[in-house]
Amino acid sequence: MKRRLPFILFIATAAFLAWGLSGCLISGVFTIDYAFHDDIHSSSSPTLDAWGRGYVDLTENATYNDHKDKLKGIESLCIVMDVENHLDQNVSGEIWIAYDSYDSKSEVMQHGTRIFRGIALGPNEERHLGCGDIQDILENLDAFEDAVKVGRFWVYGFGNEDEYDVTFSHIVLIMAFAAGL
Amino acid sequence: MKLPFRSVLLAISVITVPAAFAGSYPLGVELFGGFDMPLVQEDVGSGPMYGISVRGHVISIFHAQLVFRGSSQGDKDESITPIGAPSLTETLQGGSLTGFGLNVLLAGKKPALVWPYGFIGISTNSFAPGQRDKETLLGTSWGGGLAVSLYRNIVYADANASLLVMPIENNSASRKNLQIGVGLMYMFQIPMK
Repeated sequence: MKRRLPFILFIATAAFLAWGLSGCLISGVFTIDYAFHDDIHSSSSPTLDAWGRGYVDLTENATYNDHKDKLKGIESLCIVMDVENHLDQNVSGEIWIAYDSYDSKSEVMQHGTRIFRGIALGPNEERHLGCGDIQDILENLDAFEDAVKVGRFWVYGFGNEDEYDVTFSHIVLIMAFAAGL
Repeated sequence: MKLPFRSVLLAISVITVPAAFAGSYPLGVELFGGFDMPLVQEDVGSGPMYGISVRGHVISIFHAQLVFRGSSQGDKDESITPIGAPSLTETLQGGSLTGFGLNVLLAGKKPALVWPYGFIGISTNSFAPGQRDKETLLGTSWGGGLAVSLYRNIVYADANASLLVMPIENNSASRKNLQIGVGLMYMFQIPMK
């Protein structure tokens, strides 16, 4: 047994190397940032100008296009934006995503997925939100990951209260995703 | 993936049991420091690394080495340009990467004045990015090093480099880190009989 041990260790080493080098070695984690073309102005009494939604087309991003066919998963997500509460009362904002364009909040809530809520704003408050502010209130990242793999989706912004009037502006998505090379 | 206690026990046994047959046996205890450099990872940066290892001879050219290491994953600044607003820099926090593993070293049987070695290893790693949930990742390592005796083959200066590969996303991708360390190793003579 003692004489065979080096041979056994050699075979085990070769098998280990083969396993370790297979599949996952030629890959990486990449970041992209995507700036929204328009602000999302959302009001409880929506008008043509204040129905809060924005369209995301990640295929506009070169890095995404380079890797979209070998995208394996989202490692992290961050949303940077400015938020402004136009009312003289507290409001709590939330963001939803959906694949189609809808004309009412109830339709979005029926067909879409909320990816975060809990942006608390005081009366007439305007705030800049960075990665650290958003990270803890993100949810349903699996659904977001699926949307990123598709590459095109709608983003909706709402307030939680019965009456709200909020603008989400200068929005930038920052994503780190795993992909093959 | 958690490394169960039995595996740790087995690893220790791999080092100590063969030594029991050897009569007298040196265990190399090393403190090391260095740098950890993520490869093809745009969300984390390089950072310092530190650790401790214990190595012992098993059979022929095979040695076993238990390693604990910790490293900081550096922050990454992402420059973004919101439409209609000035550019700004958002910092993606790096976090930490700690690992505990078992390496198989291929080296000369006895400590020598110049003692080169190669190794492969397996480890359990705790990856704690600054703004995300902590992940436990199984890792494999490949690398090599050179130990040079500073005093009577008892005290060694050691330099090594290794590639740590940690599969993610159901083994379809990986995080890879190049880890370079230098350390000081002391060979403890353990009388076993």
